Formats: sequence, structure tokens, C-alpha cells
Amino acid sequence: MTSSEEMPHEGTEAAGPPADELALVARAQTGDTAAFDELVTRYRQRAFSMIYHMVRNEQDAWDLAQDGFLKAWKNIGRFRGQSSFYTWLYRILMNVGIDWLRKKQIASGTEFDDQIGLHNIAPGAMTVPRSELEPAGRISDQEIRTRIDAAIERLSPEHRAVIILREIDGLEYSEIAEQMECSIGTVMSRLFYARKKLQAMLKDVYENI
Amino acid sequence: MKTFEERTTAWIDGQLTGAELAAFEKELEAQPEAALDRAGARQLGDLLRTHGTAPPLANADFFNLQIQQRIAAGTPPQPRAEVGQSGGFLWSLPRLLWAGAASLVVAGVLYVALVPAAQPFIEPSNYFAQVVEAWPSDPSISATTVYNPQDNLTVLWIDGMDYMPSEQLALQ
Amino acid sequence: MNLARLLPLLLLLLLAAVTPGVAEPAAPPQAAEKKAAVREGDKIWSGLVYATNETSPKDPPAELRDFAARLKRVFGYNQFQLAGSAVKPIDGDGEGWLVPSKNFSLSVKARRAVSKEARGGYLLSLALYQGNRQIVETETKLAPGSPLFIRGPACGKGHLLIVLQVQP
Repeated sequence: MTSSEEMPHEGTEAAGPPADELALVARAQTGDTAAFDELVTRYRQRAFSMIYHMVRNEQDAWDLAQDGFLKAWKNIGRFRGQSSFYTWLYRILMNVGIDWLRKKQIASGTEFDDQIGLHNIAPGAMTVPRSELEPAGRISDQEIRTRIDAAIERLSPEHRAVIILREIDGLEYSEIAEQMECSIGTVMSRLFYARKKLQAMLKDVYENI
Repeated sequence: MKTFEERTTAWIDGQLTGAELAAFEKELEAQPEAALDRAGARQLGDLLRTHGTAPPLANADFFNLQIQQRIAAGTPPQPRAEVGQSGGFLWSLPRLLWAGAASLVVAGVLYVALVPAAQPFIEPSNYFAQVVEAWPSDPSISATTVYNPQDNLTVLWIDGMDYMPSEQLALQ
Repeated sequence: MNLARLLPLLLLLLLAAVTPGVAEPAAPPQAAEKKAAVREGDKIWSGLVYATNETSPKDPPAELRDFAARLKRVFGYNQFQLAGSAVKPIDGDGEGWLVPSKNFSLSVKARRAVSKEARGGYLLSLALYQGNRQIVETETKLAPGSPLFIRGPACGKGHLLIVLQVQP
């Protein structure tokens, strides 16, 4: 599988790395912190968003996004230009997010029961019965966010990653597989279970907005 | 052949075509709710894209500043290009001799102070296994040490390794 | 300056005076004594473990029986199967290879553990390989009764773990 030369598409940037990006990276590789600062400025929002989607907390996302950039700075000499800088950075950020989630899981003694929790959900089974509208009416935007955060919190780091990369970042299966260093089949299988689990928890939300 | 989960995912995302699509939809005829599930999965995606987005990065310039401060406080990056020569031979011979001699003295003191002379390891130890340092071999690999005191386990948690099909294992 | 030129020489002489081990002529090594003070008979064992969740999990292999319950809590899997193992004596001088399976190998160099915390154990320079790809290098301290678990790649329905332990 070859590395994509395009940045993960969010619909706002032109295909292919900007012409001066390689120059900035080359300068940063010689220790030019101003050049690296420019790269941070370009990608900070996307980096923050990516981590936020994983950890669902602004302060943690702030810290972890910084950790990701610092890791990129320390290893920038190893960037070979075989992919875009953002693709390379994205992978670092994802690992930072997944590591943090794993450590948090071990520290809290909780388990992500992606496998065990799906005993009752056979692959072809319907998830939950269709719910009726509450007489009180619409759920507020803040409540929706809270519900989404709580639902994603229940997913394992790998399942969170595939849902975010697919549903929010809009990556293709092959791009997700490359980012997560796994096969396309694994990506699709994880998506299946992640969707099932989220549907079970959020069906009443998306049916009532 | 793709698993049921893989085909379902592809079907939800509109990636199944032709004979594969026909065969799968025939398989789903016995499950009338499957169509609702697909609609639900798509609604879920819309929900996440609409309401699950990240907030804007507050104080973005401060974010940059903190990174610069942390860089200044930490080690420099591994340079790819050669560091430019600063002109002139920095270390004269006397200075090199000084540095070498000082290093030897330090090494000698440490050797005497820390290395037990001809004493085998007998003393039992109750410490955890410990990863003193770990250097991943490329940026796509991350290695984190996790200590679990309650369970007396030390784990070097590695992410970024290649997936392996279980068929390649020789299970005992 | 004369003093500046003489000082390195003086320091070298001082070094020779305070390090008897260096000053003594090399004595012939005794048969059972190794430079790294390795305890006779100590070995390092590595195992490749396939961890999954099963509805009817099998008993863990004997090598992991003491850890199975803890592994379940930490990793969330309930079945652990051995997919290969390797053992080698700890050689205080040389570098060796542990190859628990054709897919994974470890380069191991045992060094004298000079810090107090490692008394009773070994300081190892380890490098883990997946196929030909080097994954990570580490400096690790191990002792009998305190193994190291390396959480490796996703595999099949679960994950691979690499276990390293010192066996007396």
C-alpha cells in the first residue's frame, strides 16, 4: 500500500501538499523553530480537532495536540517526504491519542467492552426498537453533544479512531488502514462494530432531531 | 471472501456493486430490518458530522507559544541536514586532552563506586520489571511503558505494528 | 602554559592510582566467573502469546498461569495461547537472539546492572523486530518473578503479546 501524497481531505484544501510546505519542513529539519512554528500554525486546528474527537475533552486535547507536535519536532529529521507532512503528523497524533486512552483505561481499571458488550448484537440483528418521540420535544444541542461524548467514551481507542476517521474526517478505507497500520478488512470490521455500538446508544438522539 | 461485517459496512457506505451487491441484498431479504439499520447508520454519520465536531482551538497563538517554550526547554530535533560548519577548529589539542582526561577520571570514579568487584547477583529483588528507556524505530511507532502496581505488571505498549492474520501463527 | 599541558598527564596518573582494577595486570579469568557477574544458570525466556476473547476460553499455558488473571484485567482478553517460545542462557558478554516465532525476534544483550535497584536482576538492551522491521529498542531491567509484557500488533480477533522473563 503506497502512502497517499494528499492530506486527509476535509474539503477545504487543494489536493497535494502546498509548494512551500517541503521548504518549511526542510528548514525545520535544520533546527529552524520559526519554520516549525509556521507548520504548527497551519495544522493546529486540525490537530486539535483530531485529538478532541478521540478524547472528547478540550483541555486534554490541547495538551495532547501539543505533545503530538513536540513528538513531530523531535522526530522531524526522520520525515522523508514520502507522504505529506500532515499525513505523517496525523499518524503521530493518532498514536498519541490512542496511547493516552489506553493509559487512562489501565489507570481507571475500566475495560472497553467492544467485544464482550456485543454478545447481544448479532451481526445482522436490528439494534434497538424504534423509539417514540418524547412529548417534551427536541433535545438541545448541548445535550446532543453530551450524549455523543458519552457514547464515544464507551468505544475502544481503535473503534473511536475508525469512526472519527470515517464519519468525521471522511477518509476512505484504504486511507484509514494506512493511518492505523492495519488491513482494510480490519477497518471495515471495526467500523461495523463501532457503528452498531453507537447506534444502540444514540438511536433515540438521531431519530429525534 | 469478505466477512458479513465487512460486507455490511461496504453496503452501508454504498461501496458494494454489481453481483456482490445483488448477492448481499438477497442474503438480507431474510432480515427486513436491515434497511432500517442502514438508514440508521447513515443518520448516525450525519449526527456525528453535525454535532460531533470539535470546538475551535481557543487562544491559538498561545498554543504556538507554549510549543515554542517547550521546544526551547527540551532537546533539539534530530537534524537531517548536516549542521553548518561554524568555521575553525573548535577544540584545540590541549582542550581535547583536558576533556579526555576528565572523562577518564569520571569513568574511573564511577567504576570504583558503582561496580561491585567480583560479587555475583544473589540478593533477591522485589522491584517491578522496568523499561528504563525505549526508542521507537520510526515515527509511526509509539512505545509507552505502563506500570500496573495493583496487578504487578509492567507493559511496554506499542502501537503502529503491522497487523497479522491469525493464520500465520503456529499455536501450541 | 606548562601547567595546562601537564595537568592532563597528572590526571591520568591520578586515575591510575585510584582504579586498582585498571592498574592490575590482566589476570587469567577463572573458569566459572564471567565478567558481567551473571548468576550461573539464569536464562531469559520469551514467549509469543495470542490473546483473544472466547466464549469458552481454554486454560492458559503453564508459563502464563500465574499471570493470566492479571493479563485479563489489563488487556481485557480471556484466553491466552502460546504461539511460540524461545529461551537462551544469559550471557554477560555477548549479544544473542531470541526468536519465539518466525514473525518476531529479539536481539538481547545483557549488561551488568550497576544500579542498586537492579540487584538481583539484569539490565538488558533489547531490540524487537517484526520480520525484518525493527520496532523498538529498549533498556530494560528484569528479574525472576517480574516479567515484561510487550503489547504487540492486532492479530486475528485479538492481539499479540510478547512476554520476557528471567528464569533461574
